[in-house]
Amino acid sequence: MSYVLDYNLREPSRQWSLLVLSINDRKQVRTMDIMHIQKIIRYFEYLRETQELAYSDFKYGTVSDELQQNLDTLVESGLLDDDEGKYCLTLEGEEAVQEVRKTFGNDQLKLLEFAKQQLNDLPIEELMYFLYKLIPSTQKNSIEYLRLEGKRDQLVCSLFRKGRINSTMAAQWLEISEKEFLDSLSD
Amino acid sequence: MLLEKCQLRTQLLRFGENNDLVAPNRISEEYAVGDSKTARPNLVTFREVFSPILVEENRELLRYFHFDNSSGEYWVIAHALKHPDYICVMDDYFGRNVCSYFNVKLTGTIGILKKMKERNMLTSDDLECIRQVVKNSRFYLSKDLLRELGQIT
Repeated sequence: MSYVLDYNLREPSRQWSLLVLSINDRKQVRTMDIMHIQKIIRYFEYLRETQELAYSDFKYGTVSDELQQNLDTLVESGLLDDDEGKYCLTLEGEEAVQEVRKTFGNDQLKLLEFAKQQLNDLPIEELMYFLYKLIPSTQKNSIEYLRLEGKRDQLVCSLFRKGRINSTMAAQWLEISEKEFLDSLSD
Repeated sequence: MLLEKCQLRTQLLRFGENNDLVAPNRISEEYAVGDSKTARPNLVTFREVFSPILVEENRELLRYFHFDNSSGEYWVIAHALKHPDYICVMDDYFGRNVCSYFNVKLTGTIGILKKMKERNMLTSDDLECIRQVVKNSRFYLSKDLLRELGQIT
């Protein structure tokens, strides 16, 4: 039996969904909710500079229907468990990941690990704001962006202190100089 | 900040006799900008202590910096990746995250001060000056540094 062939796991959104759920985040947590899966896969695609999934800019920012549909398929196939919105690998899913990892490049896996470790433990507002600012086109149609902009000092400062963005990026997002930003942290 | 305000030039030059202290050009540029309380940093002294080096771009690493090569940390890590014997000296949280991700050797300001103290290159007066400067600075890590400085005896 081949999981890759039987479940079409060469399809990027299936492959990445299984892989990302096999990675520990900073708090050694592997389970993920749908919002974190969507945003982390989008961040991964940003980092690798090649976009394979289709995304729409929706109320809560960038979302891929393709990814959602394939997650549903993986749940129906028994490779993933959906426990009240928290996704995790089943025992069969764990076996499938071992096979998928053999065909997945190390550099790509490293990027995916980085994406999960940088974002999976962030609260939803910080996660959304990070993506809105990193990929400004995702602000279109958002019902949340303007509200979050009202809290931008707090959100940027928190992302910086958690080491998810550097001072250069923080200053750009706040539209002030880096020196001003660093000084503001001690206020 | 500490180099000039606590006049650590001589001590760092001594430390540099057994350690190759280098700084990518971007770090010198950042140093030259100074902080809010140091109007005109002395770049000559900085370059005397830290040899300026040219570092090659590292396209793979650049991804992790969101394709922006303007931060000094990017150039420091790029150098360390090419020369694994070097240890990055970095306090910035994001830079430290990336270092640990690439298994680059890493220390911070406190790590260097500890080493210097162990080798008797810092006096109690030097440490007191460092404490005072950090205490009165607007450096965002002041509280963390002060706590750790308290552990150096």
